[in-house]
Amino acid sequence: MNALLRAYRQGSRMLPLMLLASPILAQQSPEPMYKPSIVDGTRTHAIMRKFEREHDTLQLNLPAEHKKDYSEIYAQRWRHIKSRFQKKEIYTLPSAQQYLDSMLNRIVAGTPDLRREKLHAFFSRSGTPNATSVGQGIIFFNIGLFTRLDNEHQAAFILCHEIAHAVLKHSEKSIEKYVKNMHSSALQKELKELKKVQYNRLSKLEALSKGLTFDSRRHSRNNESDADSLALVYFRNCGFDPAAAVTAMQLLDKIDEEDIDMTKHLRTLFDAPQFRFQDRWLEKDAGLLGGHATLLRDRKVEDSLKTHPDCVERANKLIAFNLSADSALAGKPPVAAASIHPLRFDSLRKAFQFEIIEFSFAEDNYTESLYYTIAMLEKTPNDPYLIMHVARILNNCFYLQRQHRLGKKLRLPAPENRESFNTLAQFVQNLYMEEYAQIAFHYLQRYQGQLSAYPEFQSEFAKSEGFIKM
Amino acid sequence: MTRNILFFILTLLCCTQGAFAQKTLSLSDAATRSVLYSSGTIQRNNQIGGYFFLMQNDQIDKTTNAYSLHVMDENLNRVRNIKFKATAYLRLQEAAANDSSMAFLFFYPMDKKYELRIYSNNGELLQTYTRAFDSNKRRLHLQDMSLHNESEGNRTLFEVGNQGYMAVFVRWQSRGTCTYDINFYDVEKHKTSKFSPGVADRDFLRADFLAKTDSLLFLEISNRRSSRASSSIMAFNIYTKKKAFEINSNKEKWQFEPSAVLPVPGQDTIVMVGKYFEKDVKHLKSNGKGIAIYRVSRNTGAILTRTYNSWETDISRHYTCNKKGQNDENGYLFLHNATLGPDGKIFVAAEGYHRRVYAYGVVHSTLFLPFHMMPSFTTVANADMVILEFNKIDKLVKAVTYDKQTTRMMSRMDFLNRHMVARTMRSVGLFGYRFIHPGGDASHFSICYYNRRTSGDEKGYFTYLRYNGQKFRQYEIPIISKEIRNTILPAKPGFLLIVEDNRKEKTVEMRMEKIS
Repeated sequence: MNALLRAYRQGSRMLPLMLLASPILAQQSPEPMYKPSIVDGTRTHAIMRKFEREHDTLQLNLPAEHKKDYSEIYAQRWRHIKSRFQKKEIYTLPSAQQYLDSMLNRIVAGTPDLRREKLHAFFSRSGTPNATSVGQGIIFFNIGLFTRLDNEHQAAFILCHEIAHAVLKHSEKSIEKYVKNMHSSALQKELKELKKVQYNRLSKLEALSKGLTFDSRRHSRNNESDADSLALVYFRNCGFDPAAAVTAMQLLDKIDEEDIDMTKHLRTLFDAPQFRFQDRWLEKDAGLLGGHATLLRDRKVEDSLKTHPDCVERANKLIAFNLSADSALAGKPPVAAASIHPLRFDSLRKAFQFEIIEFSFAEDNYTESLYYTIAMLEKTPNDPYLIMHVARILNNCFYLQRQHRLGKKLRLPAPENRESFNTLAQFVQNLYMEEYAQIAFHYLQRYQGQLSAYPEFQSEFAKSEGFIKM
Repeated sequence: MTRNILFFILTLLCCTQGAFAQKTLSLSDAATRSVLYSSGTIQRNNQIGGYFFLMQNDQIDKTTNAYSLHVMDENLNRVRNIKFKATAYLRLQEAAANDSSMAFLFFYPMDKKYELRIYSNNGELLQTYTRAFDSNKRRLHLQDMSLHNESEGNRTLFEVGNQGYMAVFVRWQSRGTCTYDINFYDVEKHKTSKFSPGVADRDFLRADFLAKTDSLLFLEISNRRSSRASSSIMAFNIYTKKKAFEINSNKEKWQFEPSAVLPVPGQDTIVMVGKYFEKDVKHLKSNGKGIAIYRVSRNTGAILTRTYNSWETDISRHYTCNKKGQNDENGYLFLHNATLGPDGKIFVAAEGYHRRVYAYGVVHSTLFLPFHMMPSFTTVANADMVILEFNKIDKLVKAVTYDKQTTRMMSRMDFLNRHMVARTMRSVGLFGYRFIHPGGDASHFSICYYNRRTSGDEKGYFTYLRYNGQKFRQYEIPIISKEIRNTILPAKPGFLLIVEDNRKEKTVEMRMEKIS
């Protein structure tokens, strides 16, 4: 264990020395290595405290009837919001926040009614392509969605959609509906009767809860349609390109279809002259149901349980809304075309791609972090940060396996994952412990001449070299 | 004080109000509690292919329950949920799977039967087979089942390629005698067939699972009735459903008691490792003359080579012991299992054991003899782990002792022979050894055992000796630390399943930890 720590620290200890020397070395470096943004803990805490006070006030003003139930659900909602602040999910870089605030302000300025609303938008560092209105006027815009958008008009429509959810108080109304449902005399009567039943209770309860779930999901789908139509009104009021609302929806529809040829990438990345790629690294498990099981799906039930309507359906509705709005506005002066800061949009999109990698890594999801890194290496194969990060993950795998903690950081193949992710998950678990360090070493060795000026690169190189000797 | 009284009155008022208020029910109030009945592994190709969890969810009537059988794949993904109704008393004993189906062997103690349920990969019930037993044999069946060590894998139910399944059952007969039979279940043809030993052989025959290759099932058939117990190794062809060959010690120069049967990948050879004994010795009462390795033809059953490593000459050169294999510190060696390494090497996992007179036990048992149901004068102990390495001509070349905390226990087995004690220790799980776990290929494996050593807040370690194709390296996972209690089980090749109970955070996490 001591030798392991020594090798790990040896690499890490080199880092500050190299950073000191970096101004001299930097002259030789072709481009600066990406530096992950530091989460401003003080600011995050201050924002969280502000929302906590708002939540406390909210708790005091809950309806008197069934107050306890309301209070419990609102407290649960707050715990969810708080956890997102606490796990440093919020991207606090001032320039990014300013950009998002200016987009929000622009939308609010277009529709004066919105000035009455308390709205707060934040970038979430999550790689999942999503945006959510979580209650208390708080909107999280995942950078995983932002990076997939083509232009800031699409981003503005997504934000309008979440604002519409907040304005229409969908979260609060869902809570109210749930509490009222649970206290309805019909349901209470059924539950009381059910409690007295000794036999076949579960099947009866399942039938009852299924009815409630279908009802709630249908309600949720209706909410989405309502939010879309109101969002389009806000969107058009600001002068954004109405077609972007439709293209955003079409983009969301295809978002899960994007995939990469992971097998090809792995073979290219990790085949070194001194350490050849082995077919064994890609072999699938011979476990139950042929290794990677598939889930049986009941499409009819799944459709009834969807929280969102199909994106194609939503896009078609938006086209119809646009047409009727165009005809209603015929003859009136057009709203000035809006734009926030296209250059900033592009630079944020680029930076966010790295941030997703860093956040997955910080969130202890090494497989996901490596997945995003490899996907990005396809577009920018010589990026020094990405090259360093691949080795960083592999070195950490070596280190953590010896401490029996690697299982907490890796994801295993699962039926719900996309195939390329499962290929990568299988690859990472097929490697022997020694191979993590060997692959990292030989992979970095290829870039030694090109990237030796970067201290982070040298640090990982030294680590892998130390691990190999163990 | 006033505040306290006021608080008390307010609390009382609230409680009273609560008691009179009508309680609003939630869905969970009306739900029945699910109970975990059985859990275990699903074996496929001699490996862990998945896991099952049998839950009782609902009561249909007085004698019938509704169950759900959750099937997880090797990566702990829940892939199927099979629902069925059955009697209130049942246990899911073992499970196996092939490419197209899954088989589950249920035990119904009150209905006096076993039931094999075969499901398709989609979870549809394909076939059901039952096997009844006499009501007066229920205790014996229960006892037999309780001795099953889950970390050793299946011993009753096996898959026969994609054809179907086979099950080896003990058949208890009158006057305490028993025999066995092998049942074959052909899923494709909806047929069953049975292999039973000849009538003349039926005495006290036990069939213990040794190994399974792609076409052969190896069983150690032992006759425990006679005072001079004998055993032979039987190989059954799982496709022809006939005995392929038998290796009988009576025809050999020495008696042979197998500890491991290992198919050599890519060759028509089977390696058998075990202790060998003098012809006329009662081998339940002896530690034998040493360790023998047979190489047997997979096709004909002919013994191709016999290599004997005696305690006296071959083994004592590498491991200090007398001609009986005894060592002052470690006592005798119990051979748990063996595995093949690269370049034709064989590694045997052995563990020391001894029984010693226990002064306190002598005094206590003597003084309170009239009040004792089971006086005990001795303790049994497991000692260090010893890994024996044999070269490609099956001669011992290295023996490495790995220190382990000696665990002493009141034996309650004073009148048993000391080597019989070792067998008993193994069947009730008193040894530290757990299993040999394969890595991704033949050159990597890990020998896993418990070490009760304590260090600071850590009590007990799950230790594994990882062989990376060149050398062994020892790793330890604490079982009990200040905040965490770990339960460690075998998983798919190269992985362990760790169930981590964090007492501080009150969470239970189940995760696969890589060891290859």
